[in-house]
Amino acid sequence: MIATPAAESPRITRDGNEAVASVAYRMSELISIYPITPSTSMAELCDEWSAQGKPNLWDEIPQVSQMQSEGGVAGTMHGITMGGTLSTTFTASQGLLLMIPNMYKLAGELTPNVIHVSARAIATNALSIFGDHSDVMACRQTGYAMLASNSVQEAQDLAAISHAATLSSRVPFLHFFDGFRTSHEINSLDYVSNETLLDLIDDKALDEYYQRALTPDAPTVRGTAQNPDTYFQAREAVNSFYKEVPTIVQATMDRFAEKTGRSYKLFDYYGHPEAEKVIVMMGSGVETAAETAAWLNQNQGTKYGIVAVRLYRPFNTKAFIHSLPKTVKSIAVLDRTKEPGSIGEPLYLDVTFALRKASRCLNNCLPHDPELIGGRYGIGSKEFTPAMVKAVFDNLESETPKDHFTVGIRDDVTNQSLDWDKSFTIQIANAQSALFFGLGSDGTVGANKNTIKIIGEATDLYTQAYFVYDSKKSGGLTTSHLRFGADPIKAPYLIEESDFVGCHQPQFVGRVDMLSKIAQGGTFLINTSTDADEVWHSLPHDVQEAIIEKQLKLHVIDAYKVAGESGMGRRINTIMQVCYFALSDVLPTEDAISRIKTSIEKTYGRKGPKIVAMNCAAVDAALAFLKQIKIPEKPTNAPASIEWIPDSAPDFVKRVTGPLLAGQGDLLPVSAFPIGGVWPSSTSQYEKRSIASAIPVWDAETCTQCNKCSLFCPHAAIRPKIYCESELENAPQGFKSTAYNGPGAEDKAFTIQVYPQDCTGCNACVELCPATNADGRRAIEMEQLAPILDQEKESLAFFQEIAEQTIDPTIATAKSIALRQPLFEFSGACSGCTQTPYIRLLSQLFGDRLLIANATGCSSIYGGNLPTTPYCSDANGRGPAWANSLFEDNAEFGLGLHLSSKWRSETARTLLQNLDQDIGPEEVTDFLSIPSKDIDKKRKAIETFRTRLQKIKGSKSTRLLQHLDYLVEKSTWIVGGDGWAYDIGFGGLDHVLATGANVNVLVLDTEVYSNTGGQSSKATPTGAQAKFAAKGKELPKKDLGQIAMSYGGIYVAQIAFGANEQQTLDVLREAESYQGPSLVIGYGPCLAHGIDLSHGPARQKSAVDSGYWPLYRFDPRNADSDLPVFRLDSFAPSIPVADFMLNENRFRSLERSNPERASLLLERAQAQVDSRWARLEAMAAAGLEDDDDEDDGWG
Amino acid sequence: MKITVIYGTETGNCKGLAAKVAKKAAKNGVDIDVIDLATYDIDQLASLEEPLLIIISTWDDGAPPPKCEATFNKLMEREEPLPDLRYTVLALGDTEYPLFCECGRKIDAQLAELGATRLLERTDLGAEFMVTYIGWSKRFWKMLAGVFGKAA
Ligand SMILES: Cc1cc2nc3c(=O)[nH]c(=O)nc-3n(C[C@H](O)[C@H](O)[C@H](O)COP(=O)(O)O)c2cc1C
Repeated sequence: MIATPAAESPRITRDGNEAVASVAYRMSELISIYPITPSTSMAELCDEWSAQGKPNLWDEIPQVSQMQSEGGVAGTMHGITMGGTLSTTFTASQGLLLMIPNMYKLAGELTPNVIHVSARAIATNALSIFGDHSDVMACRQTGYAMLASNSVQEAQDLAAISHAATLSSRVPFLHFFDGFRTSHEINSLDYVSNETLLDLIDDKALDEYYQRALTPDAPTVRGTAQNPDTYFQAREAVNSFYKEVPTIVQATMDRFAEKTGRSYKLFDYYGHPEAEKVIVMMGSGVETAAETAAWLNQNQGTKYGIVAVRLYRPFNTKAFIHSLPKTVKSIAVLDRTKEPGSIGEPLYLDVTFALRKASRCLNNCLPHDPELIGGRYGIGSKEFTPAMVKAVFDNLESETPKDHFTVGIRDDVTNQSLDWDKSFTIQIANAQSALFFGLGSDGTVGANKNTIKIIGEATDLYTQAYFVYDSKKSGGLTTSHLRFGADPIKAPYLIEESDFVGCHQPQFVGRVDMLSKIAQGGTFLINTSTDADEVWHSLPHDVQEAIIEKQLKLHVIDAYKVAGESGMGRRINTIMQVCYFALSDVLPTEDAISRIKTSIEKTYGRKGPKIVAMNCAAVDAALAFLKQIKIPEKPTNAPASIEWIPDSAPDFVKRVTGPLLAGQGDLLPVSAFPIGGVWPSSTSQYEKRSIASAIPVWDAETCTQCNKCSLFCPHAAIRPKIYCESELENAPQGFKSTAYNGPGAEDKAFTIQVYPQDCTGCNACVELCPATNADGRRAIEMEQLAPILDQEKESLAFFQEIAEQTIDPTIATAKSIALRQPLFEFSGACSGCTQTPYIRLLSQLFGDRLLIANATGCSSIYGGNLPTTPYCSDANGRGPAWANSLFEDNAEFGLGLHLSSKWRSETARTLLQNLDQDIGPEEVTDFLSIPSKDIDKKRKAIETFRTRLQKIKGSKSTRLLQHLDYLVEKSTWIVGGDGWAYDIGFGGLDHVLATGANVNVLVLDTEVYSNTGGQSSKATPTGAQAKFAAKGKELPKKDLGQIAMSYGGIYVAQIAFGANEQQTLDVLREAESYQGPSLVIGYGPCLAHGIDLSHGPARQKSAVDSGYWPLYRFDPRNADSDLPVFRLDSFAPSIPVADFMLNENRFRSLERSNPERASLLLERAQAQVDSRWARLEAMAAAGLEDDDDEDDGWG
Repeated sequence: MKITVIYGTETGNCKGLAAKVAKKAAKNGVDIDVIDLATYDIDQLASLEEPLLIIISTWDDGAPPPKCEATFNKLMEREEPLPDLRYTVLALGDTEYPLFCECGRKIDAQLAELGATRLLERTDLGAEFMVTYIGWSKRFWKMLAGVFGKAA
């Protein structure tokens, strides 16, 4: 299919968020924002456009303010709109929930505005960032009008209609579309012009809006408090406005249709004009349902139809009834939300009631009462496919249709789910599709976005692209789903039959299921370094079989070779892109190549002509390496199955984790899952991700046994062990060992072992290894994994078996701490993450009694995002207990956990004292005097008590048994990022610190919202560019430590692990032992800073050396000792702050884009450093009364 | 008035203390050379006229900071006496390690062995060195006041 070139048209290619933001921006004046997935990019775009000076419809530049939370956004928007300025915002999920209080006000006061929501699940038994309607459904009672968009085009169009209708009706609008599926799907759409937007706006309504503003020029008061005599009547005064909304929306839609030809109704009907079975629903699923109904009607003679709800609130019964075909006999209402305990989900209830009203009040406009059932689908972005639509219609066809059903999962507990025919699919006429499998870091997604753009620009084809990521922050699998065709692509579900499959990483073959979705006769392209003659034999049996059965065309390319030879290192994405164009016939290859080169020029132009030339050379060289492989008639390899999980793994891991790792999670039934959101820990050890191509290798001779490599390893993938030399008798060949050097070294051996399949290859350990041999080689150096994998696996298996020497648990030096078992391992954090070592330290210091409350953010994602869990337990089965509540409430949540464990500890102590005669008075007295450090002794005593108590009758004894383990006090740590501590959770953090409770707070300060992609927070420093700070942050970073110190009774410290390990360790231990609140702020260099994370620890050091991040401690206990309460732990700045800043892209990028502003902000940054240092030094000196040197003889 | 400070460091603590000494020297109007032991030629000790302060940390169970290993070994192997050298040692370490401030101890003993004059008893500073440094500093400058005839 060689397509004809594109004609002049308003057609563009965008994702849903950008389509919406473009309209919202142009129709607004002041915008307040806060990041939350999947809405964030709308806010980011508005911030960028504002920074660039892009005008709105009135040729003015909208101003954007970032707030500390969505609650803050809603409050600001309330003020902005009451002040008479046009406003909007963007949010989802928990963010929308935080806006609810103000939404009532805004609606009650009839104040126009629009909230655009990329609808997302709400955290319940677990958090889900994915799409459904749980969030918007929680707003149906606020008084906001609610408009639903079902596609990228509609999202743009209904955004415009919302902004116009809110002005005309005075009722505020919530405009929503499906998170990810619509917000992040790239699709073709017709751009809506400024002229059209202006035309939609009712000038009179706008004028009145400005007139109504709260102003001293025409003073009024708002927000009065009303009494029983008035509130009710005044509340009813809004009714007439709500009555008008449907008419106004329809009129605006009609006007829009006149201008654009795209016509919408309050309820749109698709399908057979005399349909008997109808589905009612809203959101992206509408397109799937409508296309499936059309296909079934055409191919199977059915009479099916779909009603798409657009204006959900106010719900207009009449318009709804009129949208139904008169012939309808039964209806299934699909809700993308769950309301446990209700008679039915919200849309189901609305439809039920509407039908009831229709038969009673509207003169029986339907000839009979249709049968009605309801069900749930698509929760948390569960796929909703044509086969599932068919299952719903089949259910309607059955004699006893299931009510309250679910579709898309297997519910084997309450049996409410519908079966669906997995093989059913509908062909999309005149369309081609392509699937690409890549790694998060290999540029596959970027290249595919570019491919879609090229096809969109070069041809008159309609395009669609959707990208699926796994939840790992590094080395995660990406799947790109591309479709294009002569007609608009209405298929908001993953590709089910692809003409082309590209495998961009050789290690996926046989491990990732790539061929079940390839069409008969399709093309399969593999990037592999295996010789073309050898490739076939290297494929596992199942892959060979699929290729033969489906009669695929198999092509291979050694893209790494092409990349290497053209100086591109391991950047293979454009090479693979060229191959795709050559193998598909969507564009003449020459044309495609020249367009790829144009975009290379655009993307890399700023990086200089050399980079551009290198990329172009790779593009030119690619096709010579592309080879087709001849397919034998039969598979040549014997079947072999992959062992995802070792046989020795616990049952749960085999039953649940295994399928999740194999990509089969969708097939797990309801019964497989633990209820109540509980998940077992210690599962990351079974994942064996093998994402590093090179791993560190230890050189026993050169090593000085300082253990730094282990201390800083972000993934706990390097571990030292001291053991008896005699153990070595059974060592496998190649196992490395050396004599231990240290106290009591006789007969002791030492090994540093790398976990080869858990290492992510970040290189941080190599960078900081202090030991080099005569040849300049360090004691740890990277080597290619493949040749050494088997050896390392064997060594590791032996290493894990060796009995280690017990180490004194009271000593915690930088050297010895690494010898303790980490109880936080192999997380999904970024390769080189600098936050994870802090958490690992907590686990090594206090792991067996550690309670962690974790704010939502990076640390909650790598800490608890399935498929696996990195927190694990020691040989006694104890380990960190971890939970995430929300983003904003983490300090309060952690306080609650602490109060609860403290209550139980105190109760246990009291009961113990009450029962001392029965248990043994001496032992009880002894127990109560055990120092808090001596936990082993306490645990031993507890076991004795347990045996005795089991024999003692009575309720006190029973109660003591219930609380007995709490006789060892738990250590509560409240962990979160700067977005939480400085912004959204600050109020709660401040309060919790002020309670005096014995909780410990660890702030992982990356100076941006890392998890949502690097938005500015109040921790972002002067001069840094971040998202939401496109112009470069002007104001200084908030000094959280100073604020906390002002209370006097709080232990406060700033740490930076790479700058001073021992201080970090000392601080964590002191914070923990302080019987009151502690706040520890840890510096965490982040990928979002535009740095190479293998230098993370060096960045920490540079931050400290320049005075950018002074190390200090404030320990209220020292008031009674010789030591000062406040002390500096770092030296006076030894380098200018510019030396630190200009090594990081977040600062440098501003220098490139706006050198004048950059140098101004740099000057300010230096002034801030100087004045802070002077202040801290003065504080430190004030604490040292004998620091005066009058008496040293020098005057 | 002049002094020389030689520091041996791995993570910068001794260097930082050397900088503090330098600041104080400037205040007191004393000339000062601050030198990294890693790059120092031990033979020059013989001709050093002014008082010498050595600030050195201990690593890896008694070993010197890895960067200074070669120079340290050379000093320890030295046999020619240093009768004219006047010195004092400030040792850094951590009491949680069994061989507390071992490296400073060794240097102090070796210089004494080679006949150099100890101007002030060695001081061993632990993890609290940022605080305990102050007491040492006072003693050190009092001693220098004596050496330079500034004593009141
Ligand atoms: C791996 C390692 C080993 C250490 N071994 C010792 C030791 O054996 N004895 C000691 O007193 N201090 C020891 N220390 C503590 C250091 O001497 C101390 O941190 C010192 O302040 C470092 O000074 P520097 O930064 O100038 O090198 C050790 C520290 C580390 C990290």
